[in-house]
Amino acid sequence: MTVASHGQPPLLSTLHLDAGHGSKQILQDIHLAIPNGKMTVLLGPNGSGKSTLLSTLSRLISPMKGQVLLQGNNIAQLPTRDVAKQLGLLPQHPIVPEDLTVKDLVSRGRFPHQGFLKQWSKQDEKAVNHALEVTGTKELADRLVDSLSGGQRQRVWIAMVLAQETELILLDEPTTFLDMRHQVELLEMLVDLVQHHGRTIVCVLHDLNLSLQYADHLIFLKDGQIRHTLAHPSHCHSDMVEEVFETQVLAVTHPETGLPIFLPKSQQTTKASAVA
Amino acid sequence: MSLSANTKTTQQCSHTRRLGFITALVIGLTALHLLYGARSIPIGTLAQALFHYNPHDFDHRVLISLRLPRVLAMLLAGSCLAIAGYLLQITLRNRLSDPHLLGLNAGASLAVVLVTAFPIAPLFSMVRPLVASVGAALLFSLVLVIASAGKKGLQPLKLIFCGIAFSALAGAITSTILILDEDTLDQLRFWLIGDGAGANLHTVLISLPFAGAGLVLSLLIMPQLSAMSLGDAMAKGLGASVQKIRFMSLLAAALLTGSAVSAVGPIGFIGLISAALWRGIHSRPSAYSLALVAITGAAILMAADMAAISLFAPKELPTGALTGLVGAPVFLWIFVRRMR
Repeated sequence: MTVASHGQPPLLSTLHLDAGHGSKQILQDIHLAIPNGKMTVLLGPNGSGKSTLLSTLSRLISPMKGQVLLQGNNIAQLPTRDVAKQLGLLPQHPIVPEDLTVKDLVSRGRFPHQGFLKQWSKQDEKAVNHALEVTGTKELADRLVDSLSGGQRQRVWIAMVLAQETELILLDEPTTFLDMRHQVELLEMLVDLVQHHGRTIVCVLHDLNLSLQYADHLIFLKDGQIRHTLAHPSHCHSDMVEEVFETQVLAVTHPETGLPIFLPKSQQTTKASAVA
Repeated sequence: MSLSANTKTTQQCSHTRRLGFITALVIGLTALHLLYGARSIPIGTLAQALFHYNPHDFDHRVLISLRLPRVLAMLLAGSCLAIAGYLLQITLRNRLSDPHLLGLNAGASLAVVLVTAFPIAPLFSMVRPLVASVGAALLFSLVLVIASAGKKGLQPLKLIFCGIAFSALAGAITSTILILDEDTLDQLRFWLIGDGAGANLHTVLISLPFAGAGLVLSLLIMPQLSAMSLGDAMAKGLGASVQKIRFMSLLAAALLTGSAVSAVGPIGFIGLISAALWRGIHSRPSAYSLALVAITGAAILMAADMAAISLFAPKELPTGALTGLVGAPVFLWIFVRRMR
């Protein structure tokens, strides 16, 4: 696998994309380029189209208009297995098969690299072991996936996508249902993949403040359109947040990272101060 | 590294052991079925009849022209129905799936009865498995379309209810035709209740190519079905062609069911029981899982057929009734465990 350098044209981009579910259009004129070797986070309120955009980027949904480009080629016209060698996806609700060990599950990430009758190769074994190591799931290798906790399970899914050995990894809300510790662990693992393993990550996240601490690049969506594209989290201001999320916020600075954090203004405190 | 190599070998060991065990069971049951019946035949005669057939020897004739076709039909139908059930279960992600419950058996029977009563196909006796397969595919498509209608889409119980309802409808049409047309009833009387006594070598042989096509198709799509066991979105992400594979899988199920129904009539629950016996088999679609399920299906149908002959000897029960007797409780057991 070659590590994408920053000067090269983007691995993943879109050209004036319209997309939706069935005949219902959700995304409108999405024109973007995902920066190589960075972690891009898609943010926006519920129904803003961020998950739809991730599904369209990963060819689960075909666009109504426009194109998704993978290394400059229309993704819809590439053989799906070839796409799977360059772009890995962790959807929101994968099915956990019963009675399957962690190692068996992670091995399924090798699917696009295997042909009919092609034996399990040394390269396959290497990729799986590497994925287990990087995600810290090596000790779980012989455990059954359905016996794991939510946090462990999510790491195993990411290990499976890593075993696919793709430069691009797309994740749809990977931290949902995780407690704070596991959310942080998972995001730090993703940052590690970007910084030390040359991956380009696109991730839908719900939590604005966590996103600001870990993302390199942020895209804010609202009503199916891109509202703001930020090349660095420090460019985020309270007026952007208030406009996109329709909530009054206070901006503070994280004392360690120096990055912005936004606190919702409580209706209660506003009332309390008015009374005082 | 050495650890994983070790687990791979132990896994292969247990695979071989299971396959060996179940294959030995089928061979044993087949031999028993051939030798015991209304008239018991010594095992030496079996070898003689197979290798030095003497048409004037009564025992030889019983073995070769009566019992052998019946045994072959049961082996073929048992494995076909088991694979069809397994394919349906993993493709629809519903362990209650069985060709009998989802309407494939009823569709196949109706098609065969229709074409027997109104002989439109000129070479009907040669293409009976194909007619049965088309019937199975058509009725099952109807079941799928109706079960997928509505806001929530395809749901496990909806699918089973639709399957049972359409089976009842097809069954009613089949009965009507048979009551109005006594010739057809006489021809298909035994076949229709899944009675092995109606099996003959010709019906087994003409089923083979269709069963073979279904088997090859199933083997080809096993790797993709294994990716699909992680959900459609994950499978697409891994580069599996989900729609195409689902279609091919249901096509294979229809071909296999058609071949089985054409040979022995509509026999139920073989697919349900065979796959339920092996833990974790639904999570690992592979050639090995397919073989295991197929041989298990053959063993179960063989045992059911022997029970049908011997339980109330000299009276014979229809084999289909016997599989229902075992299959219905298995269905309830899976149902209760899944719905909790």
